[in-house]
Amino acid sequence: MKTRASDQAFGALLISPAAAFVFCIAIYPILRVLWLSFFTQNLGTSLVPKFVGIDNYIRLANDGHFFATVRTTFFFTFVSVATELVGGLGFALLLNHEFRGRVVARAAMLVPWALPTAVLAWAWSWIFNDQFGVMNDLLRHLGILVRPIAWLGSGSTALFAVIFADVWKTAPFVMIILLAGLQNIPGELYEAAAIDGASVWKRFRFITLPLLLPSIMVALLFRAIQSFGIFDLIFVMTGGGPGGATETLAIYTYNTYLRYLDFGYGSAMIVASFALMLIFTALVYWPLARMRAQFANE
Amino acid sequence: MSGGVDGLVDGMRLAGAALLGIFLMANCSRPHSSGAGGVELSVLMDADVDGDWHAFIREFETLNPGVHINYVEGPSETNAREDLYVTSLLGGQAVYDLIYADVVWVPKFAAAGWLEDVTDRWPAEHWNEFIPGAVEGGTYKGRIYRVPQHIDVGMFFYRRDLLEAAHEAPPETFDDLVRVAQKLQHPDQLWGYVWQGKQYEGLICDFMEVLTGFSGFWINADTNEVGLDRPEAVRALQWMHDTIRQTRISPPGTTAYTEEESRLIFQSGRAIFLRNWPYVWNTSQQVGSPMIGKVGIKPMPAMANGHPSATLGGWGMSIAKNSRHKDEAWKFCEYVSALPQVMRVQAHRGNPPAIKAFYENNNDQAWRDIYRVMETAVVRPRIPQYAQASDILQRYVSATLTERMTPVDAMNAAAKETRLLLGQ
Repeated sequence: MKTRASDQAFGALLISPAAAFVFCIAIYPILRVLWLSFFTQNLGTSLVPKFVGIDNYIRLANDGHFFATVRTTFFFTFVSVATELVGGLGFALLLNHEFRGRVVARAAMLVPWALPTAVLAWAWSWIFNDQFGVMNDLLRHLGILVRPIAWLGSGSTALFAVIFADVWKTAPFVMIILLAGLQNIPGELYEAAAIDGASVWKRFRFITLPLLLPSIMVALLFRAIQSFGIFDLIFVMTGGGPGGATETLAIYTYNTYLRYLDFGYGSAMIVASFALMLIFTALVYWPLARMRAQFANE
Repeated sequence: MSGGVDGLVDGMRLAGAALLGIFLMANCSRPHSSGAGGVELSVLMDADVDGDWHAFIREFETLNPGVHINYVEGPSETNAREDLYVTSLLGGQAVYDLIYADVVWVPKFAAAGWLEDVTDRWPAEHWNEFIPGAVEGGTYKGRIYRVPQHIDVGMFFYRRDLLEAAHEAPPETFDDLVRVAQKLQHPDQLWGYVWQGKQYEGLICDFMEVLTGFSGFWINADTNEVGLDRPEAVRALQWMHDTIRQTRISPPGTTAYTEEESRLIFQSGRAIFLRNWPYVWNTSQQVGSPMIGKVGIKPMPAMANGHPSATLGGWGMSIAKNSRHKDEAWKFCEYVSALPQVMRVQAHRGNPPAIKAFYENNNDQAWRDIYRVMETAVVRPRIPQYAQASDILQRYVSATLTERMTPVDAMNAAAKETRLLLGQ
């Protein structure tokens, strides 16, 4: 008993530097922002904090601009993560097969993910340019387009263009996680199923999917969280435009906090995004966790 | 499984924090005063590609023994440097003694109490040696916070060769501009008029010029009155919208263009008229450009009864209020804003100097033309909440250009939000 207590104390001592680090860089900022969200601190108060209670949250509840960015963020996250998952799974299944040049193909698939986002966002904004862009040139040669489209210049196409670029960059990340998951599935299971006469679909449905689900959940969580906070790609490609059509929560929060120097209101916005992200993550995680439990019962 | 994920996330957070820590230590632990009586001043600027600034610093240090200037090379993106300055200034300590400031930063930084008032460091006659707009751009509530170095003005570039061949004069009015553009253009090979229509600060610069040309105003400097929902502003926005959608003298992609997209179209010979900044004069006349000798410069057209105008931009040097070496910092401000220094930067980078003498003694017709444009300069509203006011306007102007809103609805909404912002 005595040894266990001292073991525990020693263990606590060993993790204390790491715990202190996590407290400083993760927990303290969250508490600090929560505290600041009850104050008004902006250029109107000469950057001196004034306690205002829940005023910032009332202002947020009446801020149509805020809700517009929330809608855009949810839409962006949902469409891009869903597409990445389907695409990533397809490529992972493909690259899990033996074929000549598989190593090269796998490495090539990872290139978009390894590129710095700001650089590729710049490249994509030129690809989507109406006068010089490759996208229009390609579609015109294929006979799909007659006149060039200003992809980033209209509200309806800009959001999809940005999602396209995001999927291009992050589908490889989903692919690599799913590929790792696929390689953990023992080949004997497929052989046994084939001997039992299971079709390709049945093998996918009853072997691949249940055993891959943990990897899918990891990929999904990572991507949903990253995607919810999307900033760099949109900041470079459209800056939130045109007409605010691609403005996400992260862009609005950045503007409020760092450019308008409205720290109290910006903090309330950060707290609200944090809460929204937790809810969103739960919404993504819950059905998959249920599915996993269901597979375990089968 | 999820335990493993958490561990990975924490691990990445730790690695990130460690990197940040190293970066901060590397940047913050530099001594401000070095050695016996020596003074170190630091300034954050973009990369010194031509080496001019490092040369200035060497000369300045020779003239002022004991003073050392630490030139910190920051990102070339203006917004990114503004963020770096803001974060360092929020800390309360003068990480940078000198602030190389864009014209639109001054009201915000001054209102936040970050800049030193330098009004009385020079007599009025000395301030008068600069182009008035350049000094005005560094002024907040009647006090001067910035020594102007370079000035940028929005200007109208035209294809001299095409106009001469068609026996047309460069357009003075918006109607002329549309008429000549429609007459000579044949899209997609040759567009009438290219400008900056993306949702960003440049859109505001273009809009202000058209707005002033229609005799409208955005925010009155003296009364803070908002003029966006007045008929002139609605007509101005309608005119901009029509260049893309109705008179069709501008390509549909205009709504995604910044300076470079529009310049490349003009410089590759695919547009007759261009609204842009003075740097286009240098790039279009340098070796290899197909536009050598074919480009003319004039102020933006306006309505027959309106005023042609040029949105004012530009850079200058400010002193951080918390700097411990303000007098030495001021000497550096004086040194780099003097004519020989600004002329050297002009020769390399094309940035027009803010000193009148440069233009008054110049034999080059192009610089006299640019000076003529500078006399029409208008300053963007000098309010502390400028960034927010600009974002509001950007969103609604862009929404109109992309046909998500009508000009009337957009201007009414923009005016309402702007008044709310100004507490009216």
